[in-house]
Amino acid sequence: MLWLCVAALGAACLAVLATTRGETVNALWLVTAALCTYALGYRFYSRFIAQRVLRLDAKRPTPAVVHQDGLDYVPTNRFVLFGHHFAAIAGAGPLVGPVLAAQMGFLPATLWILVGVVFAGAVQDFLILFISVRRDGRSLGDMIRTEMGPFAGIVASVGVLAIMVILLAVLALVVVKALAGSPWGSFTVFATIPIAVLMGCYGRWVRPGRVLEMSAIGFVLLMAALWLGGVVAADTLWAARFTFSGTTWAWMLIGYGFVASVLPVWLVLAPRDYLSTFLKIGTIAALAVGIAVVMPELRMPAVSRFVDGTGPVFAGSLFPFLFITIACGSVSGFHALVASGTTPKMIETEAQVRAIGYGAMLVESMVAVMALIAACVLEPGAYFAMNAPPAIVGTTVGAVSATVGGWGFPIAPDTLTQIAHDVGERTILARAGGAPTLAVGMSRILSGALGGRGLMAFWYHFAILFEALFILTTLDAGTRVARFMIQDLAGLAVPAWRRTDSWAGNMVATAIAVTGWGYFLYQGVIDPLGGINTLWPLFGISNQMLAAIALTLASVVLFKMKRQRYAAVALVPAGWLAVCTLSAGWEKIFSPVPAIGFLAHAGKFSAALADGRVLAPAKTASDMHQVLANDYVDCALTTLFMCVVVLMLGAGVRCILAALRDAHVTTREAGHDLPLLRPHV
Amino acid sequence: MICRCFGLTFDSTVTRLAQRTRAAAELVVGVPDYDAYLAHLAATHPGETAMSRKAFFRARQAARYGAGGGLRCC
Repeated sequence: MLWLCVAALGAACLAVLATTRGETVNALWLVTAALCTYALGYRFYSRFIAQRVLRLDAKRPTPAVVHQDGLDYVPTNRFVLFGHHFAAIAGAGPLVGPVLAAQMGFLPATLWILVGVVFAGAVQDFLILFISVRRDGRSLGDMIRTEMGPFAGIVASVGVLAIMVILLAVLALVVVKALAGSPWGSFTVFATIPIAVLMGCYGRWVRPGRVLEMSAIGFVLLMAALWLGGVVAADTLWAARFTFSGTTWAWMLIGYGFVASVLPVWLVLAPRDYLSTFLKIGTIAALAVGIAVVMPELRMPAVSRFVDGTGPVFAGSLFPFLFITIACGSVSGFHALVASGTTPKMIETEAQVRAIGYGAMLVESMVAVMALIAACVLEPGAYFAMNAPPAIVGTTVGAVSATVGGWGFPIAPDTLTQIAHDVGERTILARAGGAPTLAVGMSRILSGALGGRGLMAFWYHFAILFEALFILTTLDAGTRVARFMIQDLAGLAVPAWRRTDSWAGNMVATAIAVTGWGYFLYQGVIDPLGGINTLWPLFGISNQMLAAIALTLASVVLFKMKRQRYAAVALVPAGWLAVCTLSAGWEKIFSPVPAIGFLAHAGKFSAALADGRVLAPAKTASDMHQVLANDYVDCALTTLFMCVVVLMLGAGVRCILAALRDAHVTTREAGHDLPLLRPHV
Repeated sequence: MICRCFGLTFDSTVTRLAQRTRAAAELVVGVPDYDAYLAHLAATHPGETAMSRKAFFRARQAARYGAGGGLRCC
């Protein structure tokens, strides 16, 4: 009866959202619809998976119990572990994707965030966590090797490395877009480095291991830096010193990425990781409270005219590009790596896999919904002025106002100037990438709850700092991870490469990793369409590709367990993601529209080159050749992603057929049939 | 200052709650509980010398960001 009421309430809220036309609608309808959907999904679908599909066995000892060592394998209270797991899966992705997807209106994005998480995203996290718990907490790569064979394992490793490269490039690009030409933002981000070093030394020598103390000190210093940043931005001389162009920021990030990832971790990486993790959780909570208190109106239409695929923020039609763009907020392949990392080694009983695997992803999806709300509380005109590339809308407030107004989203030039002034910036134009839009939205919501208009600039830069901080942490941690992956893959050919303590190997592999993401970052920064336009879809494709791989593994395991009656739970989302990534990849390569298809774009430039013309952003014929080279590299990368998907699907089908031919359970679980248990250190 | 509530002294309840909150917050950033490690070692390997708090923290930090660790999401 209670659940019928929940279902009715959720349906009513969705109906309100779907039927509003031409007037604003309160964000609470969206929040309520989301909460009802999560409650129903958790109560019914995840229970069905737990009891019928997987038959979770609360009596079966988990790796944390069997291998308990007080270090890696520690039975941990489920609420504490939930926090640990959520902190590991929450990142910048669900904050950026929904903001970009808002160009089609809030309704399509909302529907996919809700449906996607209940039937695909949370299911993936749940299944992979379960599979890893049954296998001593092994990693995704290990499990693909043991369940699907060594070839599939190598293909998956290459895929994961490629996703790392593109992920780091696109996240770095988000930071560049937010900080270029912003002295306030640049100053505070610079200040995080000495603050982190100070925290690191405190935690190393003064009070070893007192993470909370050092984070508290770091937080106070960070707030001081944020205040000082405002002073710097107000001073003409100092503001000029901290104003950098996009390309300068790109080079600084590339240099920083290299240095930070070869320095000892305790000096910069670890302390900033602590600080950014606490800041992230605190900010997400503050945003939730802000939305509940302020109850903002959504000014974006439910469905905008750009569902036809002509939108300026990202190119391409609703299918498949909306799904590719939202990515992490509803299903994120990256979580398969986290769910097979530290969490499975700490879970107390198998029964808790449901709450932690499925439940944490629902919270992550709520973060995506809040990001969507923050983007939709802006005037649509301001949203498009911030996110549309200057090559399309122009570079002055007058030109932008005219173009965006022509699309049916009127906004006065003075309003655009006023918004920039309110948040303490000179301009908000051409700030694609999600972070600035989210920051303006958050500053509206948070200043509505606390501080009023006077604190808007503070909240804006707080939001920028919070995003930049954890993206930079991801950048150096990710570069390290990519380095280990490169060493691991190179070690297949030359075993000496495996030695991760080797100084030369470290330097070379780090240089390869930084060059990889640096190339795409630089390409994005000089792109006249703003870079996000090109790179975010590539990131989305790679992320959804990884999810397809993880769900393929889950399907194979279900067949091997002889639970194929319920295999659709994994097969359907795996198939959907495969269709999405393959069709998006196909369009990115072969679409005749130059804004979407790399080959069409290359064709346009080579035709111009043949006529002796030079097209923007190129200024010389050699720039034109560079643009062409970029197009072909993007093409090759997309082809690589598609090949990985096809090869993994092929391997999956082969394993499933083999499992069907065998009358017995063929899966390899710990304590039963799992050979060569990795000696834990 | 000691008042009985639910069979526990007020002081011990508050201290325990504070300890748990601290351990939970630390685990969020991947630093496991040192006291739990000591308890585990004492219970299962009574003869072994335990790592000092400093050594434990350094070893855990190295493990979190070393090969095979340090994965976070986008």
